[in-house]
Amino acid sequence: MNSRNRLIIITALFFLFITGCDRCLEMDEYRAISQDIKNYVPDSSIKVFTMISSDGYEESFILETWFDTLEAFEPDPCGNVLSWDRMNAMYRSTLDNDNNVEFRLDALNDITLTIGINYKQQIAWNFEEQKITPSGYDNDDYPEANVVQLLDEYQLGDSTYANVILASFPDDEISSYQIKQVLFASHSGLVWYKYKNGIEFHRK
Amino acid sequence: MRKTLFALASATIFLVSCCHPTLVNTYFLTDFQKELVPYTLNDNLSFVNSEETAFSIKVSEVTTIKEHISQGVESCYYDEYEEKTAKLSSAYPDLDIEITTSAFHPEYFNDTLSLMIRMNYKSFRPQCTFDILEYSFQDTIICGQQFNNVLILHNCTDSDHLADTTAIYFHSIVYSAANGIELITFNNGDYYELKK
Repeated sequence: MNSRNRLIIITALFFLFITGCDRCLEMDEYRAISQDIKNYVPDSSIKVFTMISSDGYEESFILETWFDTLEAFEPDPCGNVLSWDRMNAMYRSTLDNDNNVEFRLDALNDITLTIGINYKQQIAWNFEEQKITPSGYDNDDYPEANVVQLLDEYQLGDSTYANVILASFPDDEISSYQIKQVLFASHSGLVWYKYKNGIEFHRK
Repeated sequence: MRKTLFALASATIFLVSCCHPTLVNTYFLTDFQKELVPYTLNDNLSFVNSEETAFSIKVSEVTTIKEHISQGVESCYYDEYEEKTAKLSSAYPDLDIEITTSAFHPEYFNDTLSLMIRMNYKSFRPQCTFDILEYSFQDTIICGQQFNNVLILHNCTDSDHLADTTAIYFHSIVYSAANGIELITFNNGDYYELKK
């Protein structure tokens, strides 16, 4: 074999090696979520809550799923393990199976909280980059919040809520009876929302 | 010779295993059953809630069709029965209602009127067991109001939870042949009432 062909083969093998083998972790890696961020997922002790509108309509939500778990991949070729925190809480309406509120917190990539309302409206926040992030649904029928604020405190009528998420949706993506603005409080979850047509619901 | 016999046997098996679907019986709705779904397409029904807030329920569909039931697995014979359905909906409160009555079919239904209401995936029936269903039209007082000649249909989907007043559930529907849904009640005493 001449030296030119040898060089081609060696180069090809080199590129095959560096692209075909995943790089190993340097050591075990654990991507944790701090407790103050975990608190944005409602406490597991909240089994049911009811929202009531100013014109007398009530809707209850029952806790269907709640977990705070550690996920992990299989060890990489070097024997190191990547693990990360993950939380989920899902509440379903007692009046309509199509209505729900779901909290998904995941640290696999950046620490991201996604809140889904009625299987459609989505709020997604990246805690590491401190900005709105795509929910992952990429569906025109699933409006995504375009304003998300994390506030130390929020006054709502006679009540003051600590550590809240206040989110808003663009008018041109929602109908009259979809949520325009919504408030979540640490530990409690959903506490208030307002439809595009102005009707407000408070936590009973 | 062997090939001929094989071909003949295959053709025979083919001919006897494929059959033309054959209608055996047709069951029709009674006049009373047809009148039991008293809705007209595009009607707008006025309701109020317990706090006298008005809202509208629209009749979006009224159909009468013939459903097929096969007389057995892979049977070529089938029966037809008539079914009348009305679909009603409201944007606020969010209600999606389907009212169905089916022709009495002695083999498949031990249910003389086969009236069923589905509201937001909840099933409402005169009783929540699967014995022979008794339809008892009665005069009654519910939520402080007098109703005459009505059926009470119960939320059978959530029947195990209705006593739990920490959460709101649909409780029952008061239904008449004259007006359809007269009242929707909740387990906390609230209601939606038809304004006649």
